[in-house]
Amino acid sequence: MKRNLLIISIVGGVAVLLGVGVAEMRRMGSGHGYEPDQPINFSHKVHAGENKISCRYCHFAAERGRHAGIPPTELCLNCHSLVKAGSPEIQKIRDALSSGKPIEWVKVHEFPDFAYFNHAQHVTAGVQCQQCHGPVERMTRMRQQEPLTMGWCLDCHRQNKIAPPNHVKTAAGGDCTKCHY
Amino acid sequence: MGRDEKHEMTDNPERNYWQDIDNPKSPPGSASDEFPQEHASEFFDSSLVNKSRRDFLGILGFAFGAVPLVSSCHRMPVKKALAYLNKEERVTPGIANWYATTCGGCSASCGLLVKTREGRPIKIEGNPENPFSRGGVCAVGQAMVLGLYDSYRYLKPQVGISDVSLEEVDREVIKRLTEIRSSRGRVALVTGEIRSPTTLKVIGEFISRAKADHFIYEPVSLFPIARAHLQTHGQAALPRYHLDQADLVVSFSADFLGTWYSPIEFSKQYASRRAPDPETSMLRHIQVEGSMSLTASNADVRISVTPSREAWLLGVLARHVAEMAGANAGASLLKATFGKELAAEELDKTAQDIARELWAAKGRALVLSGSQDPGQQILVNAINHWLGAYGKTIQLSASRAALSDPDRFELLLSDLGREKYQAVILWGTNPVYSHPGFPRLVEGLKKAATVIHLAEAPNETSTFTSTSTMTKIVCPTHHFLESWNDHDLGEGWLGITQPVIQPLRQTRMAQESLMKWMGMSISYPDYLEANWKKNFFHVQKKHASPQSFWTTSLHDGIAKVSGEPLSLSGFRADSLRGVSAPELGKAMELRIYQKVSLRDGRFANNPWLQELPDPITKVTWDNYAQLSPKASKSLGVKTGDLVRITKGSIPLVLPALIQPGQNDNLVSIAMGYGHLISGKTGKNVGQNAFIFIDARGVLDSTSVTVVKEGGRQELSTTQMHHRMEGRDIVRETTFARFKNNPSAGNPVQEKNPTMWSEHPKDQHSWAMTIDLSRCNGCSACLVSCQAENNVPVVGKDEVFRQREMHWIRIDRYYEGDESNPRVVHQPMTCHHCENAPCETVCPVLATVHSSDGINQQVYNRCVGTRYCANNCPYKVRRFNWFDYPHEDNWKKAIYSDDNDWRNMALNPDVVVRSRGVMEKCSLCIHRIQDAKLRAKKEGRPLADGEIRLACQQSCPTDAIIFGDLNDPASRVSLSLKDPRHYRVLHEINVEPRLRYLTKVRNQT
Repeated sequence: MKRNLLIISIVGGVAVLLGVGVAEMRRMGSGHGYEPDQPINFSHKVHAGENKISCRYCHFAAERGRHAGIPPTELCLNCHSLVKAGSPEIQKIRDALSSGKPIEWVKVHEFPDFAYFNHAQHVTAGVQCQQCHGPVERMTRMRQQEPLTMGWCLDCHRQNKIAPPNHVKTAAGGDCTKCHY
Repeated sequence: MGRDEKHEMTDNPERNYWQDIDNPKSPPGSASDEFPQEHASEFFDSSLVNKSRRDFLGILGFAFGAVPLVSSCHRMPVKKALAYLNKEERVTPGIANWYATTCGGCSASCGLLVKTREGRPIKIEGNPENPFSRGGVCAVGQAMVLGLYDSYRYLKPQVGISDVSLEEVDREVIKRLTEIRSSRGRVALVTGEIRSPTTLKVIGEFISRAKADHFIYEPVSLFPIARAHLQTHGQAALPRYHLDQADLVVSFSADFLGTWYSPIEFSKQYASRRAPDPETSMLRHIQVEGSMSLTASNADVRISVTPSREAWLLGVLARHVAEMAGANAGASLLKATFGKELAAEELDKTAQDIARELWAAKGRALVLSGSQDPGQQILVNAINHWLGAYGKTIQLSASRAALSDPDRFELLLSDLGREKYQAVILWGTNPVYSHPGFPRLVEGLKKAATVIHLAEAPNETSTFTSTSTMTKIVCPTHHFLESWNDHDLGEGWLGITQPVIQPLRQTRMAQESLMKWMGMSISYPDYLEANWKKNFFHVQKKHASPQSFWTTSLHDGIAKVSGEPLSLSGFRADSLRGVSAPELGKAMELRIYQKVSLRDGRFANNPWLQELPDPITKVTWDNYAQLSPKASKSLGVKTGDLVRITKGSIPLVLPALIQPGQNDNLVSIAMGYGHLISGKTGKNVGQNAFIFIDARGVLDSTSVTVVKEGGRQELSTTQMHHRMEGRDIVRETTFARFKNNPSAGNPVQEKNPTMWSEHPKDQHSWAMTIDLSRCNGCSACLVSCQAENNVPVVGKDEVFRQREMHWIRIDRYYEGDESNPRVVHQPMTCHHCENAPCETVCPVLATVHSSDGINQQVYNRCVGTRYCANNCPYKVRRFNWFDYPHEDNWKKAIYSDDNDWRNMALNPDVVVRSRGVMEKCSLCIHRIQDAKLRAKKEGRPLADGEIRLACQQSCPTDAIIFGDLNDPASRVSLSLKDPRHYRVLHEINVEPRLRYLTKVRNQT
């Protein structure tokens, strides 16, 4: 009996470890839920939510190319040369511009080198920013809302939620080299 | 269909192709050394291999248990994202910008489009707008982008041994030049050849202001051609040749497809007349050459003679053509020179045959010579004149080029000895490495008080010319990708060089340095623009305002400014008096030649070029003495045995290489090797053959001795890996047969019965066809692919272990008699088989079929079993034995220092593969994806020809066709209906998507 218990507990323990291990491995490095401090207390909630500034005003490269891009620092001053110009946070922007030393934002959405993702493609097809980035307009501090794992990408692509244009049969499809090259 | 049956059906069943001279008839199965075990063993001597099963399970269990422990406390590494402070309007991260510029690789000045990402140039492609290079770029041009990031380049200016700033160097130089001027001294300016009108204007101003004399030195030059035209036509003109207007080209050792004059332009023209069409005629090509150059390997008829007999043959040929043309004065002059000796009789029959063919093609014939002897070029001009080639296959235009001048350089050497010059400025030339009078030059330079070097990187000239009594000043120059310039291309065309990156180092354009030193305050780009607006705007007709002329020209990289052909005074027959018959070689003769990869050696520090297999010998990282099979037999040497070549009292010891087709009395050695001063890549690789050339730059020597030295030096060749094993991998026929039957030599490949179900068809179905009649083996595709796909350089030792990484290899097969074989070049890369043998053996599904027919290699799934490479019938898979781009050992072995910048040339859209991963041609899947994404964004279907693969884009012969088989009108679909179309290894039923078109030779 005692021996059985021992075996059961060992087998059970290994099973639990394996289960946790596999679950963790799947999550490992995905950065799901990552919400780091940023050098400037920039709030997407204020900008995109309350003031309803279009995402593409700052992330204008999203409809042009691979990267959505962090807006160039000078772009902030389009508004902030007048709006809240006295804020110490805005002062950091002016300091960066005058010193020539760029602001070191902490990267939230880290996409691995071995995969290719193109923002323009998704934006043009009508995918909403929030579909991958979560309710950014309600985030005071930027958070990685979705796991951004391969399975997560494929979930969406398999359902083919977005109707591809007439001359294209499928959106991306399941080929490895659609993203990995 | 049985194998024997098929062989009966082939065009010429006796054809016996072979690759390897040591064993031409290699026994079947000898390819078993593809993965030699002795090389692999170094990886399995670690203790892991000797572990018992129990230990192994223990380690496995621990690893599994450790994962949750480690992962539960793991933290993401914090990565920073830095945005632009002020964004340059045209630079958006992730989007490439393209700039038109002109290549600085050689004097051909091909048009380039440079791809830059985030301000970094990463890929060079051809500019289709350029009327000469028409979108092609050679291997050297492709490799220039790597040279930009070479860490061996000068970092900053130097005065004496101390590093200084540009301002300090200017102060120092201006002080010295002023002193010289006030003491009525002289300055010598020594440059390489210059074909830039604006640069020549700067030099002209410098000469008059600084009281300088200009000398030009170039080891391999076109000056003999210009000199000959001065004598025959009264103008030192450089011709533009039009091979596409010719039905017959006879070339005397002019390697016009590989290294001579303007190879890309000639390849384009040549290929346009070599793709067989039953309705039209095909260009016929006769090559008179003792060595096996790239051009010789493509000739329909190759006449193998030694260099001295080649010169005689040219003379006798000229006599015959003169007689046919009724040019009695010329004929009698030539008879006096080339009529007397035994050689004339010996060569008379050959000369008559060529003359008859040339005369039959009168007006559509062209004779070329690669000789550095102006006398032979005069003969060529005479023949071309009598054949009516001028105005048809040759266009003469006024040359703005400043060409090399051996007589003036000789004057410089003696004047330096007489201390005539107080200061010498050396710009972009390295005579201490390549000029035979280098000891006098070094001594002479030491007598000048100041020597100023305008060089990109330290070289022999800038290193071996300093003493305590003299001040050496180095003012480093930009790479051409950082520079502004213009180029006279001939026929009224000008090319523009514009910078595609900010200067990486504290360097400056040499033109600007000269301008600063003569007190001009304007910058060189402003000077260039002003010169164009002032001097070239008036002679062009297209643009109404100087500004639109300049901006459009800059955008296009090229401009047509005038078009009137040169009015010539006619041929002067008395110029033939200046031609003397050369001394006939009695024993061994020597030829120094340029390799397709290294050319004259100025880019020896470029690892892409060093590792590029020679198109003929397939040797990387070395030069060698090429000997004929018969000569090597009588010397008792095999490939790799050291031989000593002696000319006069100068010896050189090199490994021998048995070269089929080599003349028995000729030894050929490539120039450009044996640099004493170079970065790690180029230093002490091979031997310097320039010690054998004479002061006039003539590359042939009549009398040398070759003896066996004893000892060996192994050559790293890619030749031995792949053999044909008696199968009809290459299919070929002659033009005569082709005209009767377009599928001559190409028996039908019946559909094999198959057990496989077909792959489901999706939207696209990509395929590629290579035309073997067009391909000339130049290897531009290979370097283009390397640049595009981040293919690493592995170094000499690894190539020796058969671990080269090139995704394309160009198989070269010999056929026929080994003393003068015919040659075939066949590019081989992944065939993207429908029934891919690699896919079925991969245990981790790292190589799988895509819906559009591509055989995908998924790097992050691959665990490196290498089963796929073993099972690949085409042997095109490459394995990463090391993390070549990152592991320090590899970088140290090949690159100059740890801080090398050459990884900056990596393409950010393609993964950099790591150790233990298999890779191979992806059909430039990122280019396909990019074009698809663009079409989708613009809401339109993909157009045929919109996707151009890296190899296809750079191919100077347009031999590669790529497209969608689902589109019945696409070029690739049509190519599958071509009667010349066939599959390689059809019998194994892998259904490759890479197909070939048979090679057609214009032979009888």
